[in-house]
Amino acid sequence: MTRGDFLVALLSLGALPMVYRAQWGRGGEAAFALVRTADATPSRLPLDQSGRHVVPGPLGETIIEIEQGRARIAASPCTNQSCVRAGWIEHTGAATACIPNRISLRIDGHGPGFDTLHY
Amino acid sequence: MTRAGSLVLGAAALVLSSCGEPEPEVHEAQFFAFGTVVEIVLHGVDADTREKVLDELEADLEYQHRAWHAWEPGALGRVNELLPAGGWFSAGPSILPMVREAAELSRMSGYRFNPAIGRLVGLWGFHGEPGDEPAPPEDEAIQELVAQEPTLDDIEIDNIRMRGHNPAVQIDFGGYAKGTAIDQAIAQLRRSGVEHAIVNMGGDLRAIGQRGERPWRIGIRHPTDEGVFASIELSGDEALVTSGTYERAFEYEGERFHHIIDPATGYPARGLESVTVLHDEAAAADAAATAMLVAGPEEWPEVARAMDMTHAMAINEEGVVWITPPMRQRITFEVEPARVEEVTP
Repeated sequence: MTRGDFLVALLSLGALPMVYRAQWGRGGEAAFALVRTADATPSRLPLDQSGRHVVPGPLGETIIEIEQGRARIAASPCTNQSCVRAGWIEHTGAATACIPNRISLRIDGHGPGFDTLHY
Repeated sequence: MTRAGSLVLGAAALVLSSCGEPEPEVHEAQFFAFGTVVEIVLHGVDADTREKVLDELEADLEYQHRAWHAWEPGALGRVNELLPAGGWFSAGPSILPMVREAAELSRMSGYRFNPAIGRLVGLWGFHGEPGDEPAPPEDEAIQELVAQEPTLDDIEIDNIRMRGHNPAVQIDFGGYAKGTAIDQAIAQLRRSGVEHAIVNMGGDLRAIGQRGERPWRIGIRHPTDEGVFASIELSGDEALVTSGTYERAFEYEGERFHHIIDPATGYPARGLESVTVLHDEAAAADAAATAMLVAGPEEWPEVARAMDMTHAMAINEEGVVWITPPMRQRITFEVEPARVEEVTP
């Protein structure tokens, strides 16, 4: 092997951890708020676009708020309001839900990440 | 270029090109049951079978949630109404095997897992929605229930009939019900020809097969912080269950009271924030995880040994992780814990 071959080989092997991380890592930097309801297709709300989103459920409308790279359930028609009290979430994998109104909210990244999250 | 150099570059190119291959077909669905979000992930299942199995699964989970609810009308609610009187009655077909199996697990755990303490759990306000200002119950009321020492051994079963020998017994299966539902869901999926799936129900999860050419990759949420704290790869048929104090709790005068009651004291268990167990069945793993959390930082390894749980991890509120060597081999920490200590039960 020449010196040049060795350098190329070293760079190629050095790139493998980055490729592994990007393809099979933990989902990368937080990028989307994944909103799921019992009846509808999941929707992905970009975290770089602030705003409030109305999500209908069996009890009424839940309000999802996006602001400065984070998300929260701002309002929901449930009785106990624990989903609202849970507050902002911003890291990949973080999640919250309004069980009575059948709505879940999770932060996802760009990468394929995990097949599911265990709590 | 030399032969060795070509070989290395070829290998690198192969790896990089494989990153662009299309993902195998994976479908995710979500239900709400047992007071939590239920996620189903299926791999390699055609659309018709998928629709059929998901409909069946959702219907089964709704039925089980109603039937096994500790305090709302249903099969278990009826059992709890009739037990205190002490007379024989016929119990629902799904309840009898659960009581038998849970009783055995309870004995193995030294009664740290004890589904007969439903009255205590209710006394603490963890049946139903919390009131506006939840508060701990009076110690006198707690000790009165503790003194009656209710266990599932107080229930006599004869064929399809049962009777209670301790009026203090009220059955609340807790997470054990979720574990049982998951085990039955997996069995149903297998009967329908599904070989690769995950059934994930808020702290209880079981995976069969794998995702195409690779194992299922599971992210484990930190017990107290946001985001993913650890990960594990599952394949074949494995259940991952966590019992955590963060699932249900209230604060009163600056002190936090959670829902995992120590049957011996009548108060929420102290010392550990969560226990995670890897096993081949979710129900047994859930009973064990609960028992180990109740046992606390000093005694959980003894419970793991007694219940044949070789893969376990316990975490306290300072983020210290105690982990069995076989579990250490399986877990990848995505965030470095405060301290990790290997413990052999």
